[in-house]
Amino acid sequence: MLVINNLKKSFNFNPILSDVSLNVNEGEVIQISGFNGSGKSTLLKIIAGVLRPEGGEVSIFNRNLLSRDCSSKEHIIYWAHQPMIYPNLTTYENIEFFLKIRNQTIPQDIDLILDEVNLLHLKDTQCDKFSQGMFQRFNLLRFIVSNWSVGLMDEPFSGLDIDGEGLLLKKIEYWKHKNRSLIIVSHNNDRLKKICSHNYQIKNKSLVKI
Amino acid sequence: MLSTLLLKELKLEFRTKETVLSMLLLGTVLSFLFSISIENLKQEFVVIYFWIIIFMISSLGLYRSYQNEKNLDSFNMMISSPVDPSIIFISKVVSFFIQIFIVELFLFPIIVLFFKVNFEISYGVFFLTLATNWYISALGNIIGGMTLRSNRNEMIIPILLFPFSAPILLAIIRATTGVINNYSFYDFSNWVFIIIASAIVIFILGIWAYYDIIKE
Amino acid sequence: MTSLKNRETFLDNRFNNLIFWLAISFSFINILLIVTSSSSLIDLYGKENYARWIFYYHVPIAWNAGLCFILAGINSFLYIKTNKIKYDFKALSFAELGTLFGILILITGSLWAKSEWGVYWSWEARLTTTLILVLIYFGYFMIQKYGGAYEKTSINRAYISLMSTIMIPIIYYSVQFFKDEFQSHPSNGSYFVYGGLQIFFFSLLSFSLLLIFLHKYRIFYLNKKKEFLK
Repeated sequence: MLVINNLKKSFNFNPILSDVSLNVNEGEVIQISGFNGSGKSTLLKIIAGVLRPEGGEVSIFNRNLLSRDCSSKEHIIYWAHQPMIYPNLTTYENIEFFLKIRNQTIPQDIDLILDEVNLLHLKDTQCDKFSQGMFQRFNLLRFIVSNWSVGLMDEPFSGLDIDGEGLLLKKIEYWKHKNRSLIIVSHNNDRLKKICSHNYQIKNKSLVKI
Repeated sequence: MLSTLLLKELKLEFRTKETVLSMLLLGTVLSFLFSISIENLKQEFVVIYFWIIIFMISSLGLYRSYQNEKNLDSFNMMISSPVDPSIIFISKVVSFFIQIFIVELFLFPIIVLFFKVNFEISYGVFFLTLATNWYISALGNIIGGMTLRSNRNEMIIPILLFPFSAPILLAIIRATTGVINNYSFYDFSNWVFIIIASAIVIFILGIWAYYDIIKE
Repeated sequence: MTSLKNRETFLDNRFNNLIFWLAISFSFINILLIVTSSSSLIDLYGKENYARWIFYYHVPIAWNAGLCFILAGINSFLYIKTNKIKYDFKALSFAELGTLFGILILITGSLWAKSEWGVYWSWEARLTTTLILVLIYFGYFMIQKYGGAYEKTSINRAYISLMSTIMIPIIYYSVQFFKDEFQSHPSNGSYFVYGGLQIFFFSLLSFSLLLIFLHKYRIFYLNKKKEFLK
């Protein structure tokens, strides 16, 4: 489904990733771990299209993700370190904009979903007053309401309380059951390890299966 | 898709009105400083001061409008979505064009007041103003996109914006003077040609370049 | 491109060695020829122009600068299309040399303007175009220094260089017609006597060799820096 071949990325000529290859099939949950600065977030950013690699290919359903034609990104969704949210828009406006640019419509039961992620009381509040945990819940909301095939999660558990963590793990299992794939960058979460299909580590600038 | 992006830009701006108000305030202060230091200016020189003020406040406005995208990395959300970066560029150009136009609408009477000139706006001047605004908006958004990820974009935006705008500044001054003084169109047609050609070239270049320059 | 050993110097390569010695020797001979020549320049008004020495430098430097700016734009375009770092190195080298020669044009042009018209600066079309391009390239270097990691700034710099090369005719066209009085460039209508033309062409050749040497040296240094940083 998602195929990564010989990805290369360097910063100021220091190679961060060299020769990274990965195949992700439907319904697989892949955890990537590694030391700080090993290039885990860099890898996710390249797949999401935020960073330009020096070489290599990334394709989803045989469509090149690194080309100028951005329509193949409809299968990808990205959960980053930063919230990627407009602080001067309300929660509802942010999620509405997010869905519109993905050519999707707001679901009828949006209030129920907002209640599920504990953001219903903040539906019409501007997002500049959110805490870190609320931003993570908004990211989870994005994953729930939109259609995607491969989800990229960069440290999704940071800032989430116990309820949030439980909800996220439940959702990950649900998506795995629904044949959606996930690539999760996380630091040795024991509960996540039980759900994962494969565990990888970035060692010596390439992906190594554990 | 373009309407969604454009509405988002305008909603963001007009909810807080930060960019437009800061540009207008800076423009007022600059026109006050210029007018108080010089007396009995001819109409042609007022045109020069007007356009220099517009270029200077554009660099501030561009910095503000890209700060909105930099906060909380919201720009990455658009990049990682299936949106053509050219559409993002066009929406930003149109949005900044509207903001600059609104600022000019309010700034123009202030300048007429401070500089004490009688000014009649003709269709020719109006059209040339729109073309120059389009050029400033297109060029500014290319430069803003390039410096978005840098920590010092407030420094780099004016340094890049002004040299590229130098030929357009010359062209708009000569063309506006020609229209005001009722010269024959043949006399200042080359200036009009420069403005229109530059606006089109930079806009097309921006549509092509935006895909590469907005990535990290 | 073969990988470089750390101890390798610029002159270890035979071609680089040849270019270096050619450039140095031609420049030295050029200086001797100019200083000892009795040729002179007869200008529009039929009088001998004693600022001839600057002409032997000014025009070859202008030729070098123009070539550098255009080649920087072409290499930037190639970098955008192919994403190969060697084109970015070439574009960077040409941008730096173009800026250097541009500043020299402005200085020598000012000195010549002082002797010709009595003022250091006049809004002559070519000088003003060079000034605008030099200012644009100052922005180019600011992006390089403050814009972030090298891989990020390289694509931005490529687009700035390409934009500036595309805008050269627009800039020149607009500056040329701005002033009502057309300041005639001293070379218009002037001609050399007593073998000055041959010295001028020799000077052009020696400055071109100097450009090739500087460019090659800069590329060597950039490659070495890249290997060192790895």
